[in-house]
Order: sequence, then C-alpha cells, then structure tokens
Amino acid sequence: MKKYLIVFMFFLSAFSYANNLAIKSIEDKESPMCWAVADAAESSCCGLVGCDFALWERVYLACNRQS
Amino acid sequence: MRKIILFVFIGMYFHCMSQTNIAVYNVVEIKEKFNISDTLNDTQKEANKLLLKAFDLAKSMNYTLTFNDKESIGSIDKTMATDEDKGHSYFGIAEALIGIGQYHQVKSNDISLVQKESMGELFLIESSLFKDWEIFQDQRQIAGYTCFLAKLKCEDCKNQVEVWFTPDIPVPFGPVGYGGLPGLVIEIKKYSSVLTLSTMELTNEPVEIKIPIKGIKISEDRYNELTKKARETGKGKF
Repeated sequence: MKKYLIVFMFFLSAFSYANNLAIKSIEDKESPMCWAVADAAESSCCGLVGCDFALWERVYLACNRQS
Repeated sequence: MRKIILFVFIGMYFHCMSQTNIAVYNVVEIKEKFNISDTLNDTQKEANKLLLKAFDLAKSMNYTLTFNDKESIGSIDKTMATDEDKGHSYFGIAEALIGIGQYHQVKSNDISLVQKESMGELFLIESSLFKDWEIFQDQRQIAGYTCFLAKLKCEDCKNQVEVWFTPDIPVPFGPVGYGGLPGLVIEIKKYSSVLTLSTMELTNEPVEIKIPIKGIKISEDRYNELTKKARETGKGKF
C-alpha cells in the first residue's frame, strides 16, 4: 500500500512540475515575443523601430490575441 | 430657450455645407519584402505573416475624405467591413496600415486634428495643417488628374513619405492628415503601401461633416512623447 502511495505521489508531483513549467513557458513567451513581433513589423513597414507607434501597438495587440 | 440650446448643441457637432466633394481612396500596393522566406527568423516570419494578412484586408477597405473649400473630414469607411472582418485579430493592423482615427482639417485656422484610440485612451491630437513640404517638378496622371510630387522635409527619416497632389482641385486637404499643399492630395506612398484616389464624387446635396470633439486634447509633440514613454515603460500593459 505504501508503495502505491509513493508511486502516486511521485506521478502527482511530476505532473504538477510539468504543468508549472508549461504555464511559466507561456508567461515568459507571450508578452516579450509579441513585443519583438511588433518591433519587427514596425521595422519592416517603415524602416526602423519607433517610426509608427499606431502600427506597433496594433500588431502587439493582435499578436497577444492570437497567443 | 430650449430650441436655442438645441441649435447650439447641433452646431457644435455638425457643419452643414453645400457643394461637398467625397473622395474615396484605396490601398493598392504591397511590397515584396513581406514575403516569408527561410532567411527570416521566427519573429520576423510571425510579423510578416500578420502584415500580409492585414494588407489583404486593408486592400478591401475604403478611406473616405469629405471636403469643401474650408475643411475636410476623413476616416476609414467601416460600413463595408463585415463582422467577420472586424473579428479578425489583424483587422486593427489593417486599419493602422491605412491610418487610424478620424481626421479633421481646417484651412482658416491651420489645424489638423485626429481623434484616435491609443494606449487605452481616446485622444484628440492637434497639429498644424500646413507642414514643411518640398515640392518637386515630377508630374504624373492619377485618376485623371495632373499631380505633382511633394515630400515632407525630414532630415532623419529613413523612409520618407511621398505625396502626389493636384492643383486641379485647389484645396489644402488630403487623407490621413496629409495636407497643406496647393491642391488635394491624390496619392500617398507611405512606407510599404500606396493609398490612392479611386473615385471622386461632387454633390450639391448638403453633407453633414461630423467634427470629432471627444477625447483628451493634446498636441502632436506631446502625444509622440507619451508614445515614446509608453514604449519604454509600459511593457505588457497595452
């Protein structure tokens, strides 16, 4: 019985750890990734980052909506 | 008294005029640089994917400029957009590629106003209508009008905006806030797209010009400062 409990606890903690990793990965990825995408889109369109805030903002919002 | 108040109220919102022109503009060009090639990194690919979809949508949008000899009002005509279009995440980008907001230009006061949502607020951004243009001798026929090339004087601009205006229609107005030239702006080559006149309609019917009055009043310079600050400090807060 004790063995089953240990195995169960092991799987439970492994699942919890994996789940936390996945959440962290989304949290880490979402905003900075979209920030970079918005920078890249702005740069592609008007030549440099900082040249069209409206476009940058809309790309950032759209990217986050898609994530 | 009630009638007077009502009259003043309506007067603040609307100007009724005769012989108003309605010009409709469309986006007509996409540069090949948005193609998704293997040489791009994942971020650039993602950005170009969004831009390509947005450009496709932008091409189906109309920008309407209503003007007489005193003032103009212009914005993207959203009545043509379907609910499905508006539901797309890249609809907002398509708008940005043309020009977000409602633009109002007044010749006598040298005012160019734009009402637009940005950073979660509604702004009413004011600038000068008559900007510092350099006019060239280059000529082109666009939509049946003889047009001349003008460029904004800008020393540190990497990609300069090119504008084609026609003295055939001697009003200092144009779409997306471009104006202050000795003729109507017929075409704008901005970054990677071209916004060009597709139809012009002259009407003797009185046309209501709804002037934007809501929003936080702010100068263009101050607004640019705010956007710069938002970029530096507002990471993740949009």
